[in-house]
Amino acid sequence: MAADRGKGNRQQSAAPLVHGILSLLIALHLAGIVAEPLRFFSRSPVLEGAPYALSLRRWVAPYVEFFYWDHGYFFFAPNPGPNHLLEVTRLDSDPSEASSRWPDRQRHWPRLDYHRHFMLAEFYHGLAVAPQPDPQEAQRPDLLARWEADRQRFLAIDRSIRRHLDEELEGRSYRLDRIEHPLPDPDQFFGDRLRLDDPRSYQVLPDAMAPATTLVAPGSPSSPVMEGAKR
Amino acid sequence: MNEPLWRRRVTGVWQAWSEFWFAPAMADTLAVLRIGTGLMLAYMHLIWWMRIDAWMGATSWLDRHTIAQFHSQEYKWSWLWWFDHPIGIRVHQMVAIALSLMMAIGWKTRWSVPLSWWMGLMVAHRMTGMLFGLDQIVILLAAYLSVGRSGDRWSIDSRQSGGSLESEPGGSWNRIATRLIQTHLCVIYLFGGLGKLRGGMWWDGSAAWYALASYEYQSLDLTWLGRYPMMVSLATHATLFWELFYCALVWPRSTRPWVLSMAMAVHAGIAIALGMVTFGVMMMLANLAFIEPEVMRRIFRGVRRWLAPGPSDTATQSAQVRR
Repeated sequence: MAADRGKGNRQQSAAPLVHGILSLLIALHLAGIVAEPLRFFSRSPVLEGAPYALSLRRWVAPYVEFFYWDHGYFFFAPNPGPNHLLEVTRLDSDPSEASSRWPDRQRHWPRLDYHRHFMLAEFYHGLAVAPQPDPQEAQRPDLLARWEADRQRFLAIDRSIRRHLDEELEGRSYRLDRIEHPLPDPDQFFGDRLRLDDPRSYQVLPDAMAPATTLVAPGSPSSPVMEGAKR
Repeated sequence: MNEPLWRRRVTGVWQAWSEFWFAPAMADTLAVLRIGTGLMLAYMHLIWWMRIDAWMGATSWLDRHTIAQFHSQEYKWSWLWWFDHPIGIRVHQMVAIALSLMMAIGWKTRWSVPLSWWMGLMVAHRMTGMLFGLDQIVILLAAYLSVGRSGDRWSIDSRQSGGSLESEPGGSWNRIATRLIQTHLCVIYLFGGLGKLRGGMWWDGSAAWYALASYEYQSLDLTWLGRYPMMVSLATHATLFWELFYCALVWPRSTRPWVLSMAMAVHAGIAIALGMVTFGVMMMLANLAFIEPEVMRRIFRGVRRWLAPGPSDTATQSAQVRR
């Protein structure tokens, strides 16, 4: 009885200390989970984010990146936008059977499988960088370096996707395009009686892949080499 | 008695904080989340399995070297960056599915829940580029469930304990896990709402139309709603205001049922009309974290009685029939 009371007293006196330590950990965790949304939300054309948010994000980077807390939570934001697909056109076959798209409702089932392919197409599009820097980028070394890094990043992803397609298509020649599907406004939809999946509403985006060539950007220390382009 | 005012206030704030984060809680709500999250994790791993070579193999869409290089400037890491052998990745996914099912049925939950989370995390860092909100919410729930003792209810563990776990009052870890889920949901909705404030379509009320008219997402054709712009704009603004004020209105008991009902409606809409059943279901499940464990226990007791009436219930029903 006395021993129980002693144990209870020890637990009671330890509780504030334990709660204090846990509170500190909870506060640090909460700072971690708001860091990425704060940075993402506060970015502008001029800044990558509010300076305090960038600083916080840097401090918590190991924690939030490793534990997968680094999300902006911008669902359908800032606006619902056009969707993006991948289209592979085989260059050596009957034109009516030549192309296939990712994602595809018929081939990609169940729906989660469809969504995985959809995200892959959006990811590829999101990383796409023009094969040449625009004039403004070409004049500023910092922007040029950034363009080059982004371009290399995109090319690495592009090469991996092409390796996969090379195997899937057993070495046949093909063209890989990014397709954009804009969302119709109510006037287009009801006025023009445009179906949501009207083939005319899908647009091939330019510069999905430039011809195989060596690009030398002015002032650039290195030159990205295009590989695997099969246009 | 003669404590200065500031000290009493500080003590009051500390007590409220401690009560909020550390008051013991039963495991009923967490158990429901554990079952749902475990099943969803198993399903997600199964879907990866269906095309495992295309997702994780040597010549997958995004191979392991590319992903490792892609994250080389970040603190992300996955052991799936080390191997892509067909047998290796299949064994990995089999183990992941088995652990997720163990989590769902509540078998050895003290380690099956954290291990399920870890396997989910490893897959997430490998599958960069194919992820979306579903992965975020499932990994989030699995991480927080690892903190609590969700296996104390509706689990093999509780059965094996002969019911002793179920009768325990619960501990602070259950409360901490629940609060972490709740606060994280508030962060998600707050920034989801703030993000929408950056876009004109959420201001002029047309965003709901564009979501419905998104063919690649669409699973139920609701474009006829576009003929009623009043309704579309009202739905847009209702969603926006609900998201923005969720973090404040979900706490008071008087507004909580309304906020949670709206959450269920919005996520059911996303599940049914926008083809994201998995994501919609998991968001609805996560919102259940705001239901007190006692309430959850009463609900399930009612359901159990309804499904399998006990002797006393049968007697009551017979008496009612005779009357």
